[in-house]
Amino acid sequence: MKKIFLALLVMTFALQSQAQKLAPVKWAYQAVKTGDKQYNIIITAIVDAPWHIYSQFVKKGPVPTTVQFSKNPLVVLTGATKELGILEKKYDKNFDAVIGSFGGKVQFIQAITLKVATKTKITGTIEYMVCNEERCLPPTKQSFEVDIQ
Amino acid sequence: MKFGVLVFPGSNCDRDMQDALEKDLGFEVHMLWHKDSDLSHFSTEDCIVLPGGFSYGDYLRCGAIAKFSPMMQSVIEFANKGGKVLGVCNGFQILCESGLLPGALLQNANQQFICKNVFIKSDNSGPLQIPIAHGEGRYFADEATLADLEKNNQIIFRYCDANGKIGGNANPNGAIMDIAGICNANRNVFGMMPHPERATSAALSNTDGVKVFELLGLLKTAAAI
Repeated sequence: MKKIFLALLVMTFALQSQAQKLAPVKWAYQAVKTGDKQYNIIITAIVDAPWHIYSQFVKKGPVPTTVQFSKNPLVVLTGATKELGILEKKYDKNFDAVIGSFGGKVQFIQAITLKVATKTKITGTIEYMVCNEERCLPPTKQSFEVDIQ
Repeated sequence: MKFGVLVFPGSNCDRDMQDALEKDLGFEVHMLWHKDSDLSHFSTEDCIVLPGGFSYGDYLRCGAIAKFSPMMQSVIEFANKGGKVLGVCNGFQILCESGLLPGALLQNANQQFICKNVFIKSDNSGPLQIPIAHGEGRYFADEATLADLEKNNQIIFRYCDANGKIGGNANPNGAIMDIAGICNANRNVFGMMPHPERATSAALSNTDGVKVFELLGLLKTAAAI
């Protein structure tokens, strides 16, 4: 009994340390000027193969990628956040639905307009879930900040 | 450089500030009673500190009564001549009520008093762990004021997480644009909600407050904000 308990304990720690090392998505953030007081906030995800993250527009099943911008009175969000990447749509029997996901590089692009010409910070959070064909990692929420110069 | 620490009825962080400035940072400190008005022994190289607490019981609005005290009239004159003034927590509220700093401090977004360690950062620093303890710390200003603050680099501290990331849940009170501290356009009046004086002693296992005083240019050991 003691040996079984010890083996389970070792396995638990081994799994935990493995989980801590897994970070299959790298995020980068930038602002690109597109006009007078107009910018695109570009949030780029690089997803290691064979992992994938999900489209913002997934309605059923896994946690969709969500970009939320913190309130900044100097900024107006223009339209919805667009996603740019190779969207793979396929039927997932686990969720009994056609699910759209991205592997490799995907960008989430939000157009903004400054109310006055000034520098400021755009901040917010991204929530996403990353899966491969066998398993998923727990949904992750992380903060981002982008300087508008 | 010497410091004056203003004492109002209801101030309760005045002795903490005195202790931090004298014992931890080695400055000469004079306590200033709110009914007095003489600041003739202070030059513009010196700094007057408005400490935290509940001046005049925070009745009416936080800081709204304190701004009428005789000593505050002298502090306003002192600041207008270029003297350095630092307001912490209730002191920040008094500076906003007095018109020395723009904007206002509203009730926390969760409508509760919050007392805990948070992280703040400036453009020149990484995350600094500093305690907060306030019920009305949600900084707010109109768009024109916020634009001016951004243009003139007057936002000196923003709330962040332990990794220095602004946004998300790092903002404890709902302050607009995560603002934890600002300064005036002349950069001689500073206000902040977190309490750097509670983080200046190794005995308390946190000396990040020393870095805050450095960033404010009140210690000459690091580049000021």
